[in-house]
Amino acid sequence: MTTADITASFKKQPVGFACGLLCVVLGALLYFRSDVVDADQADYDAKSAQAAKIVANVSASKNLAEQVKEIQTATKEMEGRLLQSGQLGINLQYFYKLETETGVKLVDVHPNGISKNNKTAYLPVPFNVSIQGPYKKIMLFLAQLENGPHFCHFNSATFTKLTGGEGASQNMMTLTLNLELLGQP
Amino acid sequence: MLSLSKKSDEQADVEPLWHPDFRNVERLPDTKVVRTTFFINTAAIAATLALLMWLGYREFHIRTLEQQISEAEHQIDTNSRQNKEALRLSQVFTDEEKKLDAAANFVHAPLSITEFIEILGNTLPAEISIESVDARLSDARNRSYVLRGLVAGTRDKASGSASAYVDTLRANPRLKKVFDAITPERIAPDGATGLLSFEISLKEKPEGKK
Repeated sequence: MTTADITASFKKQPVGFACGLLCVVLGALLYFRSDVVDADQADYDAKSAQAAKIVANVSASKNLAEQVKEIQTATKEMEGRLLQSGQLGINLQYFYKLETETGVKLVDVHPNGISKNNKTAYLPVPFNVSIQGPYKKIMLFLAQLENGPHFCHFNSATFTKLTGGEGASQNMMTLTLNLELLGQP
Repeated sequence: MLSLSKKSDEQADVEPLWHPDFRNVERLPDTKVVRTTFFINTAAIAATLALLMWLGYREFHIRTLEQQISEAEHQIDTNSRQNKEALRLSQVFTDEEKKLDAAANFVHAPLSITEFIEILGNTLPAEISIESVDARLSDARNRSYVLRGLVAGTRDKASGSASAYVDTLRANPRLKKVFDAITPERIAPDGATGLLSFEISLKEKPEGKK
């Protein structure tokens, strides 16, 4: 087919030729822009999800600043009740103070080795404590340990009734405790 | 009369004419009622219009998506600073909460020792004397208490009292809630006192079991 033939055909069907040419151009456009919709849709999905998440975050955090302040105050208060693991004298003083307040006899108190394998921010400081006294005073000592200023966890506790002699007549007993007080390094 | 329609060259070959055909078919006008050009133009225009509408619809869709993307981006940009601050505060809150949880978990016990001793005191029959209580609480999954005591009275009555005491402990609603098993481990005469001695073990339920 020569140029002359094409020119003749074009002259014979100018509209058809023009439309055919336009169809080719439109088809090319459709082909080359076929990925744009998918790409835009994916982009829109990602961005709208991100925007929704951000808006939800912002609306959910309306009182967050106040809540953070409150929880920080609570944490500070809680940390004020922790032992300092290195201050042996002050830590033992706590038990002597309890002895004075409750009237029990502190037979023995000594710290144990601190476990270094600890995943939390705080450190359990272990002690062995042995006290002697009447039932009521022993219970008072125990209650003060449980509800006292320091956080206390008991590993073991052994109550033994004293038999024979003065102890038995006064309803005396011995309490041996293996306990931990929560502290900071 | 001459036919108004144009004949193709093929037909000319098939049916030989009875006289020479001097017509120039190419130059003759299309005299059909509906001209071929009309069909060609209609089909071409229809196809072009269809493609144009398809492309137009798609471009409109793309434009709408782009507008929505730009709106989402605007929303992200507007709230970005507040969001960063919210995330920072949320992280601070989580860290502080972890600290409080650590302290709460440290002291957590299903039953405190003082409460246990108080329950023992409230449920203890007159003929029974508790000589020792041993609490082993270091392993959270295997906490247990062991009671050792003496029962007054003749041996047949004393053994009945010891069993009744175990039943009393089992029936106590608070102990029932905390302990999985309350079992008498030993009931035997005590050589030193001549009374009947007993040993009862109480094993705590694992955490989460009701």
